[in-house]
Amino acid sequence: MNKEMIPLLLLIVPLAGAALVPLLNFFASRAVPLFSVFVGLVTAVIGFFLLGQIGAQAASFEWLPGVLKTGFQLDTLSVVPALIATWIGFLVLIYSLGYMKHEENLSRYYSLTLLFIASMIGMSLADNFLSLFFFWEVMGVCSYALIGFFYKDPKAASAGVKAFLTTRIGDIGLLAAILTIYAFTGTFSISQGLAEGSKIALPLLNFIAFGFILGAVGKSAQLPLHVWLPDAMEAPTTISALIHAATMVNAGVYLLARVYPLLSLVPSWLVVIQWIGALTALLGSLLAAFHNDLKRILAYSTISQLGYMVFAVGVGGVFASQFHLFSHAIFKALLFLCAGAVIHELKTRDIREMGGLQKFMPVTGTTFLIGALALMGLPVLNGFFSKDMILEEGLIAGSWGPLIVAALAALLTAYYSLRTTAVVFWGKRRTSAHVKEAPVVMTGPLTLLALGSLVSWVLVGPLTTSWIRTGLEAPHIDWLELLRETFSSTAFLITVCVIVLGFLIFYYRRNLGWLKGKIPAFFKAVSVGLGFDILYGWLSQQIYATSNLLSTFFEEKVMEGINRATGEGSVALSISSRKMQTGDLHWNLLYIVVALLIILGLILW
Amino acid sequence: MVELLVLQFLPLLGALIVLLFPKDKKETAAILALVTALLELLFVFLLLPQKLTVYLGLGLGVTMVLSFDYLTAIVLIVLSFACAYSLLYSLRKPLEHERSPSFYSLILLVLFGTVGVALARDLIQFYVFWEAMLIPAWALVVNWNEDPKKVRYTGLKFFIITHIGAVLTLASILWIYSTLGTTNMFVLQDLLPKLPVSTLVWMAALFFMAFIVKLAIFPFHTWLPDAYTTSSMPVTLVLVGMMTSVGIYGFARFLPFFPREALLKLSLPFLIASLVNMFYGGAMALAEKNAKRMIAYSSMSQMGYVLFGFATLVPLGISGSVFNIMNQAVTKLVLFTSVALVAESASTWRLDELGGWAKRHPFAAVCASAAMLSLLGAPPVLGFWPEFLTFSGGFASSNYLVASLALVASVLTAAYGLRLVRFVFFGPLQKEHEGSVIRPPWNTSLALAAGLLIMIIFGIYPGPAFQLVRGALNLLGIQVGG
Repeated sequence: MNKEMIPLLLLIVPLAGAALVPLLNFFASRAVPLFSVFVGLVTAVIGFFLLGQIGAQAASFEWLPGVLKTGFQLDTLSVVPALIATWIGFLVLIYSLGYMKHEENLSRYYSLTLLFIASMIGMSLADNFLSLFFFWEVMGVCSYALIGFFYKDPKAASAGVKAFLTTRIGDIGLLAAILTIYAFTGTFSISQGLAEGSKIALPLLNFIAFGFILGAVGKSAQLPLHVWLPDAMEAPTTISALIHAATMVNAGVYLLARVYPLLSLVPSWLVVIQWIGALTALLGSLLAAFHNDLKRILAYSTISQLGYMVFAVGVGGVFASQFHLFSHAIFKALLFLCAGAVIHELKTRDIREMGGLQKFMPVTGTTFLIGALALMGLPVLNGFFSKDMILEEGLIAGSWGPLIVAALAALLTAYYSLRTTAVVFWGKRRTSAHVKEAPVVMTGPLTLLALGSLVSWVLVGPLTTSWIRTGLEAPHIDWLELLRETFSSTAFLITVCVIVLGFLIFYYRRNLGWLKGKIPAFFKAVSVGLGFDILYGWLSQQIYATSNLLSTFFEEKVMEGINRATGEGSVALSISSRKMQTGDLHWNLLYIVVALLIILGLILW
Repeated sequence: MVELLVLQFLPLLGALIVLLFPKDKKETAAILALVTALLELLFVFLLLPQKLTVYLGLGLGVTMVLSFDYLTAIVLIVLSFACAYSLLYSLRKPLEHERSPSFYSLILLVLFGTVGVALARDLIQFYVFWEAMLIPAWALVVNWNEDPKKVRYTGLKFFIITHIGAVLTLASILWIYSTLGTTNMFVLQDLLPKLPVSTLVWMAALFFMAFIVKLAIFPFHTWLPDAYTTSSMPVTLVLVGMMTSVGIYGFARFLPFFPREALLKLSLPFLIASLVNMFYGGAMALAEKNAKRMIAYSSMSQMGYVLFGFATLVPLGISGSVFNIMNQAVTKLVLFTSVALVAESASTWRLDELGGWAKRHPFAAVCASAAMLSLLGAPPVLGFWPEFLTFSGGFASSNYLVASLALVASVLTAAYGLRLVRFVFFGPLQKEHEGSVIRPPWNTSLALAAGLLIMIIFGIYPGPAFQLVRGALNLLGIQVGG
């Protein structure tokens, strides 16, 4: 096989699968799930071959004749998100065999999931901004359709709309940035665009940076466009794990990392990115700490972790951000899938109705604990190393403000990770429902992901070795050095402090109950997500109201009024002018004479 | 020479034959009309690689100039496809007593007029066909209307407002003729640049009025919602698929016709008008409670994007708008048809009385979602490419502010598009519709499937379609891309 075709194949296999699933549904609808898993498997296998292609040239071809020539960019930065999509996508597909077994419309589900996997691969491997945007949008479409998968539920339907519209706001920023670069450089190529970016005048460069940041903020659910992600939890949990934790939401972070050379030309925007990331990390962990809906807790946690990655890009730690992206994809997919197993059994998402499940679901419970520990950054799980690296980068950059906020968020993260695990799996049972462990198709992926959370950081060696090709700075270290450096870093101290503090808060949480009475406003604000939804809801109400006013008053009264007035005016005019046609000779003569006089006057004048 | 005459007069011939059928043979008449439209479509494809021009002396010193190039080919493909689509859609309605052979004949007459517009290279001839297309369209709107109370007013409004546009264009044509002594466009192409720019600006502005009205640019849009909404579905499809396409074609044909210096003066007013249309049409669509009217207003708002692309005056933007001839027709046809399928099953177009129809009409739901995505310019459906080209035209012409505002308007498009699909297809189904088994008629499904395939195939691989657009513009002296 021609090696140049590997990335193309990686893209086309799931795409073809997505197209074939509806056809297969006509003939053998029962074969759809297995067929999709098979497609996922083939994709995952091709993914292994892609590893050997890092740094290689790939075939390119004309997509839009004369305007867009597209190809693949194969460096570590792009290959990692693509492989996360293929492998976690494959695990999620297997898991779906069990989880989605009793649902209707499975062909829609599997087709869209495969299409999503294809578009995530396409997005990350794209060597030009337009293909990136194309797949970026397809991901959004898949996300919208899958959030609304249970379309009969009005909540799911409106959550899909909300997700689409909110990310769309970001998307127009991204498109504006891309088109401005294109207008200046005449190319959509990412590498050329970044190389020639320095020639663009500063005001426009600011505009471009703003556009990219807006795009990333929308897709990666950062402040202030984070509101769609918690609502997106109406999707099947498998989708939350794949799209809204492991892959699509990373796209924004990936984008920022990709265009970092441009962003670094406008340092003030880097500071903005730091603050967005740090504040989002804090907001997410704060809301996660006080929520009782298991999936929403994980959603806020995702928002918070994405905040860390954005913060890392802001302080210049591009590698750190991608390293954390890698770790997070694994442990957050794990947490979501565990949550799915629990929700599947209990038919509720409220953690207050759970408890004591460890005994009945030992695999799920244990793997969830591993995921939670990785999330809080306990040594030596993968989240520990990557988060530590981010904090270390923050220290090196010396941006103390955002760093303190991020550390505070880490503290809350430690607390809510423990709290969630404890409330769901430990303590006494709060439900009488009959609970049993999930089937092997579900626990299998959980076990693999848990293993991944334990050891994925070992891959730091190959990741940094090939990182050099991205043209971005990175430390060149193997896993032993990573161990040594991490444990001797200043950031390690921070990590230890926040974990211990988080644990103490968790341990003495009942003794802190008096706080609730002291600052009721704070708790009230937290319970409504700090009011973002209220504000945006009000804004959209205003838009509707304005449209309604325009429609009922301006369009129906004024514009139609003009039409009717014109019509009636001409009728009235004809009725009144009819009187002139009397047929009386006297009057006719008078008209003739007056007309002649006027003509005479015109001639003489 | 014969080829172009066949192309021009085949629909007329079809219309005559269909008209001769007795009233009880209307099914045969319908099929014959459909065959005529399909033959026309086939014929365009057969002629496609060629470039033909025919001079046809009619006596009294009148000469018809017919010419076939890529741009004409594009619009002819769209026209005959839309005509066939509307006819296919109306096939299943033999039960409605009022649908007679004259109905199918009139649709073919619209095709005749629009084909004439597309082939004409003489301004007077162009005008004559423009009017020839309006009259059968008006007859369709008035005679096959679902709102007997409003029908007179709607018909009058449709005719008068479109006619005002046409008359202003005629004024411009006469002005050109009186100054330069010819109406042959090939000759005028060389003569026009010799006129002073100040004259040309007014000539062009007057000339474009017919298209502005046809595209329903604010404030000349008031004919559109009523005509689209009160007409029965096949007529709506004719208006959406054929009349609009011809309007866009008019811009595409005459934008390169007028010298660029004159157009530069019109660029900003047109850009502003297009922005107003996007936001105003979008706001109207968002506020609308009637699904059919909502799609009608969405059409108005979309025409803002079309005008925007042209108004940028850069090759990318213009190519986006020419691409939109194909996209808008297919997208609107599919959107109208799929929602109409639901509306007929539910016997209402009101959004608050619909909902949950994805269960009963899954295929319509898929089609409507795809068309909605195409409408708001999301991949992997066709609409993405024209919309992206349009916006890139805005940025390439350095109109950053206007282009950014147009991008913001696209959020509004998304808002009403998603709202439409959500209110029609998502949510719980009304109780009274729960039990009934509804099978969509085969011809509607076939029409929808054709539209859906076009949207998805060209959405993923726009190459061949865009190559045609590029070729068309290249022949007009506009070089798109490297």
